Amino acid sequence: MIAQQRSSAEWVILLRYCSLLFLTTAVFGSDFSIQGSNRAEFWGYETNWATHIEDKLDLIARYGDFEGELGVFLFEPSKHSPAPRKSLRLLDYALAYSPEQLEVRLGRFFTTFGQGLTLRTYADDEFRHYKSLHGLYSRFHLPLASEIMLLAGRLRDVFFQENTYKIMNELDTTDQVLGANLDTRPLNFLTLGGRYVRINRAVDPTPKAFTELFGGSAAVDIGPVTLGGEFAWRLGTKPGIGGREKGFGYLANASLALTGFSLLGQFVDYTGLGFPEGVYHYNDPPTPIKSGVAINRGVDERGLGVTVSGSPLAGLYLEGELGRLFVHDDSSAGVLEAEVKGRYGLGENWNWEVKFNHMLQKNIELGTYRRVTDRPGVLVNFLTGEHTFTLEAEMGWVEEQPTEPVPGSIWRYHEPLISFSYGFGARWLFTIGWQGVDMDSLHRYDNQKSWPMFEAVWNISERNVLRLRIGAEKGGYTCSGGVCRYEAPFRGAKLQLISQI
Amino acid sequence: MDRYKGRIGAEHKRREAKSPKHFNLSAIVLFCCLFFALQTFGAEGKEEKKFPRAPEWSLKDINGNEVKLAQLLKQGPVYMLCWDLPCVNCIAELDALVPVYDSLKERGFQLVALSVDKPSDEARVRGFVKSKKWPYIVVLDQQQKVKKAYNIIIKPTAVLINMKGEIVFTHIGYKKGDEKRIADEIGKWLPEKSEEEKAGSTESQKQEDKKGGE
Repeated sequence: MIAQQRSSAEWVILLRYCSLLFLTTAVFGSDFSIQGSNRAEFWGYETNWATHIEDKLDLIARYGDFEGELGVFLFEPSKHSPAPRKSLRLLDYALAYSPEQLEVRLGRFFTTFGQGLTLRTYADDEFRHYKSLHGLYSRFHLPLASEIMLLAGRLRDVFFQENTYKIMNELDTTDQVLGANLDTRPLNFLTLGGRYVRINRAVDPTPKAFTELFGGSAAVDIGPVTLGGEFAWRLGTKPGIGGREKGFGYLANASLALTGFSLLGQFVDYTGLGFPEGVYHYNDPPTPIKSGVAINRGVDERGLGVTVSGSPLAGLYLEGELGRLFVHDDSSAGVLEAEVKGRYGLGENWNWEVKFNHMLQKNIELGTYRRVTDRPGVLVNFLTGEHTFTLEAEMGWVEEQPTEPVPGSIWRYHEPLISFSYGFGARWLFTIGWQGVDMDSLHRYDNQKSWPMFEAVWNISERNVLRLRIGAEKGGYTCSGGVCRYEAPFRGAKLQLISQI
Repeated sequence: MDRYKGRIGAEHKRREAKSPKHFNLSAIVLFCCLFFALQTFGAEGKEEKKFPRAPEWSLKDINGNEVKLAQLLKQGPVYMLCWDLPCVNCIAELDALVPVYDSLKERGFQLVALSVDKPSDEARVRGFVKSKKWPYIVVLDQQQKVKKAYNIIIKPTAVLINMKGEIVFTHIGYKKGDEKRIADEIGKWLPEKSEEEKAGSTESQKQEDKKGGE
């Protein structure tokens, strides 16, 4: 069920639902269990005393093979918050029956077909991105380690950015998806998969103008070598305007794993596999860039990645990554990332980590034609008894060429970062840190150049964690798994309580 | 590239105008009461049962096999450790637990490494695990459903689940030497040795004593 503004009737339903859970617990006693978690957040802004309240409650009730889920999400910025006042309330539920060899679920669910070329829904609390499906889902286990999944539902994509949110398919309220996925392992070393997804949209010109995706995958695993690949083929119409549209995408990977050493190579090529920019994503094509940057997700991308890791000596771990992603014409936009990292455990108490990251981005961030960063960093960790001390330092050298206002001009500046943490057992963690820039070239940070912060984390008990953060957050352009957004700068205090129920 | 500037649509404004504001506060109060009631309820349950119940799960391992917690618990206690590729201390703990696992697996002990890496990192996880040659089960929690069900915030976090399906020990973070304490905790929850095993161990003890005497 999708809802932004809950009516009183719907809250009464929530009350009834919870009462039912309590009543059932009383009746069924110890065979019945309720578990879940709650994340409550309170933000106070320094500048205008605006506040922000957020709460996410997830409850799961179980009785034998039956399961009931309830999810409540409240997002309440106060008046005068930096973003337009726009609250969000979501009330979700799911009922499931899962005996041996079968699972049937009604309500909200998250799933991924293969590696996500055809369909992927998920809830990412850290990045605050919630892509869910609401409908019916069933999963059957068959011989030969096979599994069939069938689903029918509506998509919802809630995307948070700059202290506000947008439901990506809000205006396209009749989005429906039908899907089928088969994974099987006919031989011990061979895994095969086949999948189908059909999406009906309100903005499609005719009922027949749905979007279809056909996909397949194969993986061979022989000794230290693994070879795998996945493809997807899209048939559909151009959203809103009509006209035939085709797309195709594939990824291939190969890995070699020996004792203490591994090598992985990936290649991806996507053309017209997703809807264009600004429209919600039903799929999630993997990016070979480690930091999660994507260009034109699933629509126009080609890239490769190589990862090497090894432990040549006891206590020493080395890792190297190289990723490149570009559009098919290879000139208008692209990303190159290279990173080397070494970790060494010195004796019983010391851990050292040094790394160097180089990244080149071209036409990725709005207003920036080219941005090159070189970022060496060091992390030192010292443990003695119950006491843990951690020092982390990083220096970023940035060279930036803007699109506007003066094409051709180059800005050079620094982005230093330092933090020091003290932890006492697993109960307390205190951190003081500072981030800075010596030039706010694109006015990303409202002309601010310094962001000090203090954070205290208190594990009150095994069930409750309290986190207090006072100071400033830099914000800026951040990416995770191919999804990028602008994070608003913040000055003030944030209090977070995470509880297990 | 995803960049979506927030904006309020006409539909949203219409809904907001209709929203019964007077009910908001009571709804939030109701919600808070429910939360604290559940906390209290949970605490009472804890006193009776002594330990919280471990949420059941069913996940695929890196070889594509379906793994169910309930099935594992039939063999012995389960130590489930939440990890991902960037987590240095997680990998250190998993490395350090190999001898612990080897010494206790005969008594039914199960170690599960719960990978919370994204689906796009599946190939990396497979390659990494193979290079490590960890002898225990590595399951893929790509939707992070199990991580959330167990309220895991910090990595590494590990829980020890006894054969009754109760969480009897939680270990957050890792530093060298922790594996000894973990092994002690696991030892408390291993199934009792069978008569044959007891006889075998008594016999070997006698032989050791005899050697010592000689």
